[in-house]
Amino acid sequence: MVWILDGLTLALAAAFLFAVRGRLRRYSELDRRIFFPVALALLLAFVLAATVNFFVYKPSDASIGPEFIAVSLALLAIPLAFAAAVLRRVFVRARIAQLLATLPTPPDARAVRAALRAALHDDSAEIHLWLPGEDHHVDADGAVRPPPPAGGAELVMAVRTTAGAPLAVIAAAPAMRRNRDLVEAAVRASAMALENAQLHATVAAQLEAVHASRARLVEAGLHERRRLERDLHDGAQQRLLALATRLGLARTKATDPDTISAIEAAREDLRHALADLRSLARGIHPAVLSQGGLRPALEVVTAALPMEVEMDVPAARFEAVLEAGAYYTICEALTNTVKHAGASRARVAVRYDDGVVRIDVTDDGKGGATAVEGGGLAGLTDRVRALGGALVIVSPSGGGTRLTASIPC
Amino acid sequence: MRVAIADDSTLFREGLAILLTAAGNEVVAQTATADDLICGLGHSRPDVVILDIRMPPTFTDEGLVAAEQIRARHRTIAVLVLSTYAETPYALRLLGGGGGFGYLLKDRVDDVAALQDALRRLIDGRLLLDEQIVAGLLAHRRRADDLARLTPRERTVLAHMAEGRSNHGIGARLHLAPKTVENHIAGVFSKLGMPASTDDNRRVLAVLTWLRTAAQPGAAAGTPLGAPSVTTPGTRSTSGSGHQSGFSPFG
Repeated sequence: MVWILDGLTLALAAAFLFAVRGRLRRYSELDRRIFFPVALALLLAFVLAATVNFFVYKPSDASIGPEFIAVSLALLAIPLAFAAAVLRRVFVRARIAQLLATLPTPPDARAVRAALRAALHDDSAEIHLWLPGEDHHVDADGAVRPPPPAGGAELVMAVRTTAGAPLAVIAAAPAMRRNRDLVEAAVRASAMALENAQLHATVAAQLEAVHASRARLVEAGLHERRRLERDLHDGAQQRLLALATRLGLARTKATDPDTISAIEAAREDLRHALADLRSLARGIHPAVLSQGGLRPALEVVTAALPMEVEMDVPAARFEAVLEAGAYYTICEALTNTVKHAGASRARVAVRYDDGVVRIDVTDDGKGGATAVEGGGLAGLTDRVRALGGALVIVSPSGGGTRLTASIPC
Repeated sequence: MRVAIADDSTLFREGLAILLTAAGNEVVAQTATADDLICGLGHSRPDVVILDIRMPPTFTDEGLVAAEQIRARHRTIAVLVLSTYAETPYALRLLGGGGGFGYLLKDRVDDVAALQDALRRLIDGRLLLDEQIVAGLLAHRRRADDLARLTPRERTVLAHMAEGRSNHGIGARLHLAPKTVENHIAGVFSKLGMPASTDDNRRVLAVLTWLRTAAQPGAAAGTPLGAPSVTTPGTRSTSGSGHQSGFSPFG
């Protein structure tokens, strides 16, 4: 019995020596310095105990004292504890792999961060994703946030893409330095997901930039139209109107029939010029749209059309960009109806519902309208999309046309 | 007559002042904003004010707002709103306020006699609507069938009624005897199914209401018979009343 115990102790000591050698090689210098004396002392205790047992301790009989069993078991617990620690690290690695395997597709940085935090039991772990197009880091929530410096208290680890480009910097709590190998394993395992997340974030950022610049373009376009109309109104139109007062004055002063007829002719020309200028200015941007909104502006338009137009348009005011977008969309739709549909009546409905303005233009014409590249309907689609909306055209042959635009506001 | 002018275009304002002065009027005030004009009304005491629609600070409908304020505070002062554009909704918004209101295109300043006549009619408490707006209302397809029942002469008389002319004024314009004008008017009213009215302003509003209501499909159901009583344009159920409400509830 004693022989068996002694043999087991020696075998464990040898296994421990082997395991410790292997681990020590992978440990950081600091850890090695801390761990080495402890391991050495423990090893010494083992060898000493085994040697004493084998050569010095000669029990008088076969029975073993209870104190000896306690000492032996305590000694045995030491390598077992080490083995358990190693096993736990193996489990943590397995847990990381499992967490990363359950990430959503496409993975977003937030999900990767949640997996990392859960795997490392470190709620302060943060992913600083590098956005190549933007030239800055964003955290997993998408906020611009530079990573902490490499020499600081936190554990900072850079990750690169498979092509070697910068991908992310992962920062963990200072305490995680002791588990650098685990963090490294987690980071390696999450690199692929992070690369996907980076692509995703880059595309999302670009899309947002496109949306923002498109909105700015629409705004700038409207601003420019209004400025032009106002310049015409305040400049050329008032100048010509002042000229009309002068001609009116000249007409009252004139007595000579030739002069009178010359003034009359000039007056007639001026009326035409004013009418032309008015329709030009109205085409650029109808003043009544800014002044009174969509409904009065559309009333002016539909009154002049050679078909019946039923209007169901709220008197409420909307944002200027939206009003202008809706106005031009409806005008364009009605123009198409007049030009191509052969309709006798049309209906314009505008509804505001839960953050979306819905425009419906329907007619009883011949239908069959399709969007051709560069055509009016394609232009309409672009116009609505530029406002972040969507356009649907239903136009069965012989069944009239229904155009529906939904624009968020 | 005493005239006050508010228009932010100095060139036009001064041209108009010279023209009106030459026609024998007294221009008692000239301002670039409606507020300045209203502030000085107690001092300048005009018979009629001429307002541009678009003036500082917002260049939208300051003139209309000022017109309504002046009519509310000074019932004796007639108001003529001049506009670069002939906007029917605005014209009708103004005319709903009763007599002594007028809406003309700025272009009309090239005919001082007509302008003088218009001012005189306004001071007499009449309503006045630019012929271009009336022509637009008459040209609407919706009304074509009903209007086709009128003789050309009756159509002309209808247009003059809508512009705010009295029987006498229509007779003078068309070189017709008062009796003949009355016959034409009676013909128009019976053919269009409009309620007859001897009050000139109520008659203008009745005509405009008929024209406007017929322009709204569904409201008149294609027949003028069921449509208007003598109401102001502002009280109708469909379009035309709400554009005064101004601001969006949606921000």
